Amino acid sequence: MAPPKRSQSSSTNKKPLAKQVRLTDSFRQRKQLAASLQSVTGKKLQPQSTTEVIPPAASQITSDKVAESAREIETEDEVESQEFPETPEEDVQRETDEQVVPVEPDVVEPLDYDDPQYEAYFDKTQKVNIAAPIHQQGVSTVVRILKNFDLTAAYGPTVGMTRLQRWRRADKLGLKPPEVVYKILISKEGKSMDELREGYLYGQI
Amino acid sequence: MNIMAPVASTSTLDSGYLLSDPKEDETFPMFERRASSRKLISKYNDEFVLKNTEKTYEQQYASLYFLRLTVLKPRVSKVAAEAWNGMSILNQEVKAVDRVLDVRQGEFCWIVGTVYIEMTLKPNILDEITKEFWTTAPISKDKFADPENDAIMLEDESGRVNLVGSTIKSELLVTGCVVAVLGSETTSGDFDVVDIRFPQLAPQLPRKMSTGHERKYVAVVSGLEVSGDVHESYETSMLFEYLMGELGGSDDSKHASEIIHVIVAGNSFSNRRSPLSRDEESPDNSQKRKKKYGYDSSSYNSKPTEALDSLLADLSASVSVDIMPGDQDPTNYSYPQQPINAALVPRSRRFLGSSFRSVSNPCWWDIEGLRILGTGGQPIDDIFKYIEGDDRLQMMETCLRWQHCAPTAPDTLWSYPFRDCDPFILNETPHLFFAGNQPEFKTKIVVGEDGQRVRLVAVPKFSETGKVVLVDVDSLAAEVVTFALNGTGRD
Repeated sequence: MAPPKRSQSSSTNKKPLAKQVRLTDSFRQRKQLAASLQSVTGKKLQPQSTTEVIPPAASQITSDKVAESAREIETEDEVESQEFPETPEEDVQRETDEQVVPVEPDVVEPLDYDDPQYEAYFDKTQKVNIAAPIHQQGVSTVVRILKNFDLTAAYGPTVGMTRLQRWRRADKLGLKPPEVVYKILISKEGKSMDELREGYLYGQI
Repeated sequence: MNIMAPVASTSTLDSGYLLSDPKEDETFPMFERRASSRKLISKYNDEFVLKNTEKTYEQQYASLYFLRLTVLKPRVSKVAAEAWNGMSILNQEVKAVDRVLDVRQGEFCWIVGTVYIEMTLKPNILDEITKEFWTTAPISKDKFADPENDAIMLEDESGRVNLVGSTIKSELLVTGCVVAVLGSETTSGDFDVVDIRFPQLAPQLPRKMSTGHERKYVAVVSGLEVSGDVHESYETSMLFEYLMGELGGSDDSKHASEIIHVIVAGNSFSNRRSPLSRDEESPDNSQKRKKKYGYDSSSYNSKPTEALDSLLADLSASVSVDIMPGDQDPTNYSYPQQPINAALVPRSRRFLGSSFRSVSNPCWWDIEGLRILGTGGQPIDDIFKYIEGDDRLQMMETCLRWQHCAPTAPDTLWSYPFRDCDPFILNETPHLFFAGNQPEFKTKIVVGEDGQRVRLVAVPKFSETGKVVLVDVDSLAAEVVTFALNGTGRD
């Protein structure tokens, strides 16, 4: 990108921006643009002396919002604090319950496929079965646990949602889904691999 | 000359008041509307308004039924346990059975599940596909209920069981409501019902009664069907003038100034097709017909929208208005209906954020402490089709007792396949529950077991009856104001 021309023409007091900034661009985009220009030129852009930051070509169109947002950039704080008008707060009564927002650890750990607790948990769930599961050679315990979670009718239908969404829904309804499954689902593989993340009917329904 | 003066309302107007000579020292009192708080309860409404980025149709409707049963099962189990625990029939103590299929023959027990009614007359797409020859066109009926042949079943995650017995036939049930039934299994595998229980009315928030002596009204009108034609009904303009306080004498203006909020509940846009230009329908002409403004003006008529917009803009300048869509309005058809896009009413849109608001159908309000649940009438109309009676208020009351305002969704009432929460479940009982676009005005008070008091209002179609309902915020009294021209015979 060529360095912007800083034309000091005396005819206008306006210092045009390097790129044509459309009037519909948001205030933040302009701020980012100004910041990028600043890094190129090494100099901070001086605040405009006039109130209009309109490129000369597109000065015909005005609208209330643009005129309001076309004030000069004074400080960074002012830029951050400018919000678009929303519905007044007293008009919308926010009655949120004390919902526990699921807090996931920032660091996503990789999954240990050979963790012995998975074996122990899976054996516990299989005690209700009469026969051993068939065609299960070569399937890791983690996958078996997740499929067992899918097939548990108490947590509802599995179609059309990821396992983590289903787990969260069951948790919100108070059905106490197993913690082991949650740990598998929030691990690195649990979030990226389709085999672990999606239900067993994924791709088929 | 005998001028037919329009009769504004049923208030007693001194006949000489309007048609008298002007007095010299006459003063005209100016009535002002007091500022009031009218909010939407976002806890419930946020689930009705679906964000476009979050809407998916990958899931199936089974999730919605699962959510309904999981949430309502504990509630109805509690009511059933209170009623039936410790009871013994034929020297046998009744007990609760967790799964519907675990019922054993000869044992008296109670089970909880979702009702499913297999209706023989319900239009079924599969019947149309399997028919090889068309005999007669299917007759469109009002009702699809056939009490002799309909099979009522109870369903939960494990399976279904057929419910028989005289008790079950006399109850008002539709597909989708969650109930508890007490009985025993017969030899043929059906469940013979002895008693039935609903979740009953949900807890109700206490109302904060205001200390002032002024009366406050919420006006609800539905079925305006504004068409913008030359022969637009005079009653519509009378209604808007009345709400703005411009109609009648000072008594009427004072009464109108006590209205703090207006809810336009459904079907505000007329559905009648009246093309602007009536060209001859010939092939040559139709090709030559120019497309003005980018649309073919003979098929799209913008008059209803413009007329409604100007009426609402005038009204929004005077009182706060909420517009709710109905089944014929330009928004999605499935329930819950999304708010009408304010771009359709550009002049009223200027009042967006202050006195004009577009809300979803259904919608929860909190107006000066009065909690209101309003629907455009589609769930009640749908229930009407599948039961025998026609008492609309009884259907609305039973919806409150089922703790579900649209039980037939998604079976016969089109609905979005909700995945995480069933938003039609009533977690609290409102103080006022209204359904718009009903055939006639009916109202009553329903009292719950824990002292809940709800005012039920069936709001009639304004285009047919000319009635607007005013509900007193403090006393829950409902009155109706009728607009009619002399000689049109409306009551």
